[in-house]
Amino acid sequence: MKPAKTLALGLSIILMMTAAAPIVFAQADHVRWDIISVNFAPPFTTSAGGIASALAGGGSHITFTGSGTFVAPAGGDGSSSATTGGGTWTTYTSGGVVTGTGIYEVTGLVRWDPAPFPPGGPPPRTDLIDPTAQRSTGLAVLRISYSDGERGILVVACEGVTSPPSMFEGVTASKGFIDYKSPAAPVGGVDANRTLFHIE
Amino acid sequence: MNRRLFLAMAIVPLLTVSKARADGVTVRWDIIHLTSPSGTPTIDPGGHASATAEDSSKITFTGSGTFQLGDDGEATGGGTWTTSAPAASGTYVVTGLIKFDVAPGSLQSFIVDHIGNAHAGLAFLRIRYSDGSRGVLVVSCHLAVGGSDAVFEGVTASKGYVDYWNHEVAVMGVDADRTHISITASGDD
Repeated sequence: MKPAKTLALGLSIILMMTAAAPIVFAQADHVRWDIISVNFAPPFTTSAGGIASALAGGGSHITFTGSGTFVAPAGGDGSSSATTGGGTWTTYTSGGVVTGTGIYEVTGLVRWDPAPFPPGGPPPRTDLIDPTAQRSTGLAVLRISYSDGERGILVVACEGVTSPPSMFEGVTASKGFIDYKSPAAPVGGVDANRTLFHIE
Repeated sequence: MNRRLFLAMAIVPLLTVSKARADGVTVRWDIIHLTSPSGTPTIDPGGHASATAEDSSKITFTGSGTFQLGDDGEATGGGTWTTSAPAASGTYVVTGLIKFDVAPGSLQSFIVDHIGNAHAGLAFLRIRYSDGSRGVLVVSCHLAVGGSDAVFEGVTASKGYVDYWNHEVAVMGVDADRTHISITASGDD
């Protein structure tokens, strides 16, 4: 091939790659997740800083606080380099005795599946987390590292009143070989076991 | 030194450091049959296991596979899936290992294990469904002798934004909802 043709072909390839790059970037979701706190008297608000729990077999359970961000490439599979966040954890026996406590750090994204339904339900609430971002339901699966050296998976799930009944609200998590796989359900009038996603 | 004891001493440290690569150690998982031909409980591959979502809609899997230890380790395998609502079915393939932790416990000595090398443990696997959706399959194996009550027996899975988090409990006399995890070091039969 002559040098001029080679140069033209090379420039064409670079141009095509450059043109395609913004489209790929635009499909990535920049997501914030929170275990949220809500109140039950006016003015109704949603803020960060809530708690959520999940149960393992035998009745032992784990409670988390936390929030974080991740960038999810199109297609849902994760990117470990684009996650932030963490919070606190406490584990309990079935009788409520504390067996461990500490902090955790999010170390990666496993999956993000947004759902096309508005989160939460009435009454309308003032969003004190990020009122400019799009609020979303969905399911996020995150890798986490506990302060006691164990690792695990944190699942954050958010639903709304128009979501399919198959969706749940709350968190589940593994810690080592134990899977706290049963989410504690949110209860009316109790400020616990609620989550929220914001998409930039 | 007893060969099995040596193998156990060699494998356990590798399993507790999930970031570490453990070359030569292969983990096999199965959704199993537990039957009692001629009165002896016997484990074979080829069973089915189910889990339900928040509204009790169900997903049922068959399947098996293998993976190498280490986060995001190489993985093979797959099987079939069936959902109750919406009614759908197809196949799935395992596309990667997310995480694996071995758990305490061993198999009762009177059970005939046609797979072998049974261990308790918890595996998180990336899967791709034949309808284009993706998810996470969790395979958890509880073994009765010295096992932890916190370790469940069965499977859970996500499929898109639906999480089938509630495993169907294995019931005595019913051939369903049981798993098997086998750990084999290179050179071990």
